[in-house]
Amino acid sequence: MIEHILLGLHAIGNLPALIAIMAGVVLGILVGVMPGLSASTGVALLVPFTYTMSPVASMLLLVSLYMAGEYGGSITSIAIGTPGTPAAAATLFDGYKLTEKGQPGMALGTSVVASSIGGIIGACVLLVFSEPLARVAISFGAAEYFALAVFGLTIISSMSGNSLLKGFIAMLIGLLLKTVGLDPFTGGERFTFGVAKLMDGISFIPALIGLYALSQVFIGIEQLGTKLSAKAHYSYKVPGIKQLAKLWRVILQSSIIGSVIGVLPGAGATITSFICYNEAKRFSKTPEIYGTGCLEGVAAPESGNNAVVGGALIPLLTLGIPGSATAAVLIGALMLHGLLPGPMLFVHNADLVYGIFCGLFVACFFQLIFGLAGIPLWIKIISTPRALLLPAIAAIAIIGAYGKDYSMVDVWLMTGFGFLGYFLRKYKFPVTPVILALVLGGILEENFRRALIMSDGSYGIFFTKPISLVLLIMAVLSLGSPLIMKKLARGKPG
Amino acid sequence: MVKTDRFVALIIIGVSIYLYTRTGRFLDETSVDPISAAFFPRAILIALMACSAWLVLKSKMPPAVFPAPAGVALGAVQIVVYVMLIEPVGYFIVTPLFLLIFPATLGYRRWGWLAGLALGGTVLAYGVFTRVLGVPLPMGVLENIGGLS
Repeated sequence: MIEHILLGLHAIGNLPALIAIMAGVVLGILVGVMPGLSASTGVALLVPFTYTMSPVASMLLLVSLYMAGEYGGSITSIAIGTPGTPAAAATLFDGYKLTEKGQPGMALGTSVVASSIGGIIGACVLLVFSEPLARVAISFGAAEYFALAVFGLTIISSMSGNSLLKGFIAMLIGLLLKTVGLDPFTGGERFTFGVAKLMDGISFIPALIGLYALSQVFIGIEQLGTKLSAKAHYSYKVPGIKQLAKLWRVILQSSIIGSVIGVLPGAGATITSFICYNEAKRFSKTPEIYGTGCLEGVAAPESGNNAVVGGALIPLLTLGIPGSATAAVLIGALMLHGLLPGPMLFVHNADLVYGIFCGLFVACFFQLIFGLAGIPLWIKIISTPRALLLPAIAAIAIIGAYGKDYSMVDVWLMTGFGFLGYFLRKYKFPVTPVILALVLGGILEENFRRALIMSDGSYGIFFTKPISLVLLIMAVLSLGSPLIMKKLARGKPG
Repeated sequence: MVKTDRFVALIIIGVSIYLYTRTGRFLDETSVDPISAAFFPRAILIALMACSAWLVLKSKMPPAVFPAPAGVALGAVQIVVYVMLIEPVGYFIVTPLFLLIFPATLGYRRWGWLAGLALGGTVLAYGVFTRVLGVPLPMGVLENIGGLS
């Protein structure tokens, strides 16, 4: 373990890596601050900037953005009562109340400290549990990988909003898109319609940018009427050590809850925030203060949703299964550098894996510094006119898609996916299952067919192998887990 | 939303039926693989049609089309025109125009800021992509003017 940590420290102990972490943190806070932009959109938009970076620097940049994006959402929640990201919705209950009392600095200070501690605890969980899990996964065969992909796809149940059916339809669209190109076993063309570029399949990066970033531009145009502005006359006095020390139990409890939930595929930061808020209130000696503007009500969801990041990276790095929407985007970034997430990453790219682990700790430190120092600036940025922001996002998306292979086919694909994403969102179909299916569709089909070749066509192979069977049972349970999570998260805050 | 659900579901069913007919052309090589190249796409298409049919049955209203708002349509046209022109005309000509016109059509009228964004954004993105990241951008008609790409 020590030797691996030293390897990780070596990977991040250079100027480009530290700059990447710093840039990721600053951009993450910016993305989180701007309502409508989420960490997943931010990561998708930033992927094109990593084309020529080293894998370590690019992953540090994106993972830091992921971490800081979760914190950044709380700034908007606290300052203007509109969550910057869905995960920051629970922070609003007490955070905005503190702002109304004229103390946004207290809330923002608590938020950044709790977020950073939560992030560190999540990173510790990641560091301790990843390697043992990867060691188990290294023995997986085709049947196990098929079952794992099925399990991974069940994440859609928690990403489907009010309609699981629409989530399924979105997932099936993604799986269908993944079949475009040359068949991996026979070499025959499937749905290429004579376009040579499509023989390699649908490029993941243009799909990612289109579905997350360009579609967000169209949605943003629809929402242009809503005006957001932050008042500037409040006191930005941050909490002192003594005030923060009183929150240690809430922060620790929420961070542990967040790390554990983060590991569960699909549970995500939003549900975690609500669970942490409710659990903090339930265990509090003074539950009546929650919802009136108490620091505990800010610390609980913020430490929880940042701890999720470390937890969500465990299934991503060890099994190749994204634990959240942003993690699905991160898989795309890894694939861009020719790296396949999964247990072999620990064998062949240990420097990258442990660099990410160590980088998360450093990102938490930078988040604390930039988060505290930049409070007045972040609040000003909330008022950035979206009429300026949206065209800039569109231009970056287009140039970014072109930059991958210098191909206009990719740009058109990205544009097409942008329209697809817009229509999916507009008609209340979730977008993430499409991406998830694009990530897992290949693993699903190839291992399904490989397993059947090995078993001479017998489907029993999926049920007679213990790990495969357990994963398939877990997949069934995972489909029902959001209902349990929602039940846990329910309960009237405030 | 139920009205549009039915409309979207019917479109998905129509496209799925068309794509299903295309799977008949896939290379069938069952000596290599117990299931053919068409097995997975067909299974997905059948599931897609079944789910969409369920969505149709769930929605009880007659189908209707909800067009995108005018702002979105105008934005989409500008994006498509930008994509069409960026390669033949060149990044340095179409990008500042795009960054100047698009915000204006969204209602932003502070022309000084707009000009700053258009020129500054174009140069900044060029610097980051071409000089820092080594990603060449299409120069179009400026290709031979020298030293830009």
